This record gives sequence, C-alpha cells and structure tokens, in this order.
Amino acid sequence: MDERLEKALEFANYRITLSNQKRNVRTRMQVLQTVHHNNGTFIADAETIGFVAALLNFGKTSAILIDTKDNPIEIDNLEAFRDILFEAYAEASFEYKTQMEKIQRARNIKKLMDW
Amino acid sequence: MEEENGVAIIAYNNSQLNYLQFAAIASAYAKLHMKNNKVALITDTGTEDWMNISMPKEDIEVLFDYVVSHEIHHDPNPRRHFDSPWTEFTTQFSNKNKDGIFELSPFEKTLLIDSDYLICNNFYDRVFQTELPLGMHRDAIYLEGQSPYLNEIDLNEAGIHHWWSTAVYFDKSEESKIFFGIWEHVKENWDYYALLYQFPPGLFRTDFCVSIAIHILNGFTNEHHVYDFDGVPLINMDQKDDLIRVKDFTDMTFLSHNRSEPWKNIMVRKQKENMHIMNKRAMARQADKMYENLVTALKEKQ
Repeated sequence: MDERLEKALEFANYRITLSNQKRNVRTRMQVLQTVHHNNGTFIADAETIGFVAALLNFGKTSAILIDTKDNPIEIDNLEAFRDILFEAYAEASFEYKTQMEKIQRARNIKKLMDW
Repeated sequence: MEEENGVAIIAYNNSQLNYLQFAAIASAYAKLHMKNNKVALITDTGTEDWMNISMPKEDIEVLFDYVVSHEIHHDPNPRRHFDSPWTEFTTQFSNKNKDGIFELSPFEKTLLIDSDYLICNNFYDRVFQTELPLGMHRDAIYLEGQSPYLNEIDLNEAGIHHWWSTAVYFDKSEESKIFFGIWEHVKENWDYYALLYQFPPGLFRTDFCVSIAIHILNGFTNEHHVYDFDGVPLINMDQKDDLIRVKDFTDMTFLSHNRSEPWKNIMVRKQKENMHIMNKRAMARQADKMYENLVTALKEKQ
C-alpha cells in the first residue's frame, strides 16, 4: 500500500478512536452528574446549581423544583441540596478533566489505549 | 430485621457456554463495585452439581451469598450467536423462567442482571435508595455510541418501544408483582403476542416480554411510567465485536466492528462503565484469567 495512504488510514483510525474516547468520557460525566433527591432526578449542572444558589440568595430555605422528568419535587433543605449538587458536580468535573487530559496527551492509538 | 437488598443472577449451563463461570465473574464485579452487593445465584440442579465439582468451596462462599437451585425443564430455545462477523454458532438459550425471579429472589429490593453484564461502578446503588418499584433500561448504545439495531429500538417498524431485560430492578411491591405477572402471561401466550405485536416468534426473548409488559402496565401507551434509570443507556458490546483486554477489572479494550464494512475494526476503551458483553465466546476467552483475578481481589477485600 502507498505509504501516504497507509498513514492517512492510520490517522483516520486515530481520529475515530479519539472521538469515541471523548464521547465515552462525556457520557460518564453525565452519569456522575445525576443526583437523586426526594424521589426526584436532577442534573448537577451550572443551571441547576445556579438556580438553587439564586433561591438561597433570595433567602429561601425550601422550594419546589421541577426535576428532569418534569415532576415537582419539594426540597425542604435547599442548602443541603446545594451541597449535594456541588459534590456531584465536583466529582464529575474532576473525572472529566483527568480523563480528557489523558486523552489529549495521547497522540496515537497505542497511547490512547494505554497499550 | 433490616431489609436485605442485593443482586440476582440467573445461570443455566448448556453444552457450549459455561454460564456459571460468567455468573461468578458478574457476581465479583457487583461485589467489588456496589454497596448493595449481596448476590444470589439462581440456577438449576445440574448447574449446581457442576458448580460443586468445578469450583472450590471457598470460591463459592466468597462469590455467592445465596444459591437458589431448582429442578427445571428447559424448553428448546435455540439461539444463533456470533463471535466476530465471521463465526457463528447455535446453542440453547434458557431464559424462560426469568419472570420467576420475583418469587425466587431472597431480597426485598433486587437488581436482576444477566450473567454477561459486568457492573463497573456504583450507578445502580442509587435506585436502592428510592421507593421506585421497577427499573429497566429503555435505551442502549453500542461501543462507539451507535444506535441499537432496528428491532432493538421498536419491536417492529410501527411497533412499541423496546426495553432491555439485561438489568431489571424491582421491589416486592404490588406493582412489581403485577409486572412479573404480565411477563409470565406474555410468556405463556407467546405466539399470540408475537402476532399481536408483530415480531418473529421463533426465538423467545425476555426483552420483548418486558417491553410488552411495560406497554400494558403503561395503559397501552409508549409512555414510560416505569423508571428508565434516568435515561442512561445500556452499553452493549455487539456479538460481532471482540473483547481483547481487561485491565484492573474496569478498564476494558474492545475491537468494534463496522456494521457496513465488517472487516474494519476500531479499538474502543471503556473505563468504569457497566458493560453488556454480548459476545459470549469473547468473554469465555478472557474468563479464566478474569475469574482468577476477581476471586483473589474479593478474598483480599474480605
């Protein structure tokens, strides 16, 4: 096979593998961001954390939040809920950063796979 | 007395696949990565006899908290399996009494998993903290994020949604009892439901049973009042893919085949993700080493 073509195919495989691995890490982060509270399901993302922080800033201590399944969920301790969201967000984003850095440093398939 | 929760795994050996060994591996994965990690093996007397001959007693004790063994006649249910796009084999698929788990499980809250489902994180612990009666995966993806095959999305082109029975969470509530009752009813009237829901009746599939049961439970709509594990998809390794390395238990490397050009493969690495290893022969190739390492890790943990 022509050397240029061989290299191009190798690079194409590397690009596909890289993009698969990035998607895997994103999926894993989404799972880690999911929080269950009072039989509701929430995502510990900037929007939810920001909204809970805003409610606390307005002096609210409890509130009804709409979860990801559109169910109204009563949160009787907003401060504790904010801490749970923070914790999930911190764990997920740390894992995301660590894994993404590993992936970005890997310049070929062998390194990506840690082979 | 505090209620006991745990994982149940059904394993019936056949002449070609050692489901008992798969169940032992799946059990070790659950024990290493979950908090609700009591494990019940549901098996038949033949497989139990084989277990007592082939596995050291201390391994059995460390792997299974309960062994529920019963006499059962397995109706013929031949299934075609692939091992890569180029090799196929047919073997008995003994899955017809899966609905009996409601009665057989020794737990108050149970996660029933297939013996080829490897739990690599604590995702399922969450559901045990809820009051939800039932949970199943509604969606699945393959190794590279590919969508499932068409008959794994809907039962037919204009049909109801397909749900996965690979991981079924349930409690002992009335709602769960009704669900398993419908599952049993669908099983007993398989040909009728195959005609009604328009799918080939040849192979008995529990995925189809749960899909129909959920459809009925949902008032004959495609709504999903049944908990779908937060929409998190099941991750399947295709029967035509290969498992080429397992490192530190939760770091797995696969060869993912290209569906339109099956001679092409892409390496995919999965870390800390729950994996449905559908290529049984690929799992069997790694099984001896996995078993040995897992049992050692479990004994060290104790």
